[in-house]
Amino acid sequence: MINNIGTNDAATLARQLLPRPENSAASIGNDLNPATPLSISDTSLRIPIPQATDATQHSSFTTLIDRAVQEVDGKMKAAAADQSKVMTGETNNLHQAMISMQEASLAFSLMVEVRNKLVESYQELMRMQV
Amino acid sequence: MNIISGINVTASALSAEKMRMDVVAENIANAHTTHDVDGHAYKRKVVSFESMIAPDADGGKGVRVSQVSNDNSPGEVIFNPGHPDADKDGMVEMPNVNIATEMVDLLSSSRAYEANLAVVRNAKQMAMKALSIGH
Repeated sequence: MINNIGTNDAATLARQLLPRPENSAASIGNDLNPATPLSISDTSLRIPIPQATDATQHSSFTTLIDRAVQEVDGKMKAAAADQSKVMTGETNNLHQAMISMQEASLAFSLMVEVRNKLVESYQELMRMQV
Repeated sequence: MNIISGINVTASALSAEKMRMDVVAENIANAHTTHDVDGHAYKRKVVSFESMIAPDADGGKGVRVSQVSNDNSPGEVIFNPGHPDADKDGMVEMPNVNIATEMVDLLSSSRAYEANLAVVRNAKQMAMKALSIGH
């Protein structure tokens, strides 16, 4: 969800940065409809739009959730790695291990909150009278 | 995904303060060392910090130990002819470590560590409070 907002912002920024042809009626259309291709013949002048915009359009809800779960899992693995490093004496960064454990715990709580909200909305839909 | 904001800055400060405490420990441990690796009396070590861009630069500068330097002020010279490190006049140069100064440094780094831990605790509590929105 956070990533989604980030890429949208990047796309808006890229659109603003694109060189617009002066004295062109099409520029107004570009403002309103970002999908309209710009009428610049020399493509080398264009700033490339990040391909992430296409990726977000294609990415389904499942992949979004999947990515979030992967990220939480990554945090938990990092915490476990830090913990074992302290245990085996490879490092004495006790605080780093504690911080990554807390971070993993919070990320997990966030994931559980999201899951609860999803289940709640699903149940709300199932109760709906048709 | 950054759950606890600014935590990396605080983590770098915790590492730096721990380093300062380690150096104080070394100074206290060597408070009576008259024969360092270079053959002279031990010179107390001083830590200096510098700011840096935090590892993932998520808004804030961290801190790191820039250098551990020697305090080259002369140590106390005492008369002790039986000492193996005594010169021909029987004088021995003691380390320039002052235990009182080291204790103050130790307390100072300990309090600074606690202050950074308080930041961690508060940042975590803020995240937890934010997670409980809607309950």
